[in-house]
Amino acid sequence: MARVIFSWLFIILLYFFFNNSLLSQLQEPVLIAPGSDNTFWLAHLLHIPQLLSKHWPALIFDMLLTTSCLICIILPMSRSVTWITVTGVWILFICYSSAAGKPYAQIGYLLAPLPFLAFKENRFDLLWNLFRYWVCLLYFSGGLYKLYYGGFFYGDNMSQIIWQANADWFVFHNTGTSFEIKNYFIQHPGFAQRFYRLATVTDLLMIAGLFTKRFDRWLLVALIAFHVANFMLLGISFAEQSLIFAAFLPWPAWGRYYNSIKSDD
Amino acid sequence: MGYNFSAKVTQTLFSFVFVYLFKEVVLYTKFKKILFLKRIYKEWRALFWILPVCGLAQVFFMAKGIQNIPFFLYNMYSKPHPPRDSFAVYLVKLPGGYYDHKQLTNREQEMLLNSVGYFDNLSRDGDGTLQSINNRFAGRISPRLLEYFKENLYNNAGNLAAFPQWWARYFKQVSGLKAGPVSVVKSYVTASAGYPKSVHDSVLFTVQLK
Repeated sequence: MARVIFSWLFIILLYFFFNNSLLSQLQEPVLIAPGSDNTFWLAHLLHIPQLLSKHWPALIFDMLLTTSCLICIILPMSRSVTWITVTGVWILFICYSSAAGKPYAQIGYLLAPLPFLAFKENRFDLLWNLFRYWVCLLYFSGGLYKLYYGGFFYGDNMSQIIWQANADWFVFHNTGTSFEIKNYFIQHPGFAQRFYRLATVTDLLMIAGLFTKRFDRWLLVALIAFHVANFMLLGISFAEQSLIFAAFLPWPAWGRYYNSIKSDD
Repeated sequence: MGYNFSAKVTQTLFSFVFVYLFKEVVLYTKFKKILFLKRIYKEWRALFWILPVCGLAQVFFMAKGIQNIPFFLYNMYSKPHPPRDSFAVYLVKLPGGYYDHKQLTNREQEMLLNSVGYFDNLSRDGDGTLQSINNRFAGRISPRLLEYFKENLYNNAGNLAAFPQWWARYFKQVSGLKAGPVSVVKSYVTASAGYPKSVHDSVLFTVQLK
């Protein structure tokens, strides 16, 4: 399981690399954006993003992070290297967000490796369950926010979100299927708002995962559908977020299958 | 007759679903939750006490509306978005026309143009960081430490002056363009049919790729 998760994480790091987003590829950013997040403040007061904005420290950091992630795939029981990898992705998140001017909302790759910090198997099991609960609560809180702040009840909300999120996209695209779909949603606020409400209900339904694992496959389908729709309508990629899907995969069944194949051999 | 039948079917179906969910969620899971907490208590006492502290911290930061990682706030797109006739956009202008930055990946776009929005805000009226530092720490820590906080959490004039050259380096890397003048402009896209862009651009800065 550790091998799968860290391979997944490694693919995400490759995705960073091919998107010019590893720290050494950022060309030594000059602005910092600590926002109002105290953890970001602490990192900046300790000069971590400032140091890693320089080319050589950033390159060493990137090499250390990718190598440690590779070692976690080859030697999944190596706790010290797991610590380096986990700490590394959190630092990457802070430094990237600071350079880009705002915290990035894609956090799946930060959460999923955390349970592997546990030394004992039973403790790993507890942390993995807690990771799953954390994901459920995050999305559930997203649903609550949509109710609390009133987005759910505001009839034009989804069409306005699509129009505002795609405003710069429309400068370059005003024909084609994608344009027609987005335009239809914008021109039909009532229709668009149904999707917003469906997304809110999907978020709220994640609370079911807090009580039972029986609906996990449905929660997984709902989450994937939610992110695919976000990608298609708002252009929000979910490559980095995809690791949250791991919380809802049938690991015990796969483990039993893997063991049965192994014993057959 | 038909109405009664369908009402009865709906009622029966609802009862089944309700009983099923009640069994699943309330009875079964209540025990399971208690057992899970009991398990944490037995197997990892420290974690058992850390959990409520984390829970309280999460609720506190949610109430304050401030994200403090790892206490994430998932409140994106939750507020009502009032209708707008036009919407501000940042564009990259080359001698031959606008550069289609939407062909870049999400992350490249974020780094390239979100930072421009941030730079624009900082150049005009700051981002509120100085005020936040004063609100949180003024009078509570020594003036020297307060100055240290301001120096390390706020972008000074030198950072702002260096931004266009950094932006040019990153743009060159992601676009593959080698040379020539590039301007970053702020413009408006209107909500009318076809979503046309305003003809007026205000130039934020111009850099020379080399």
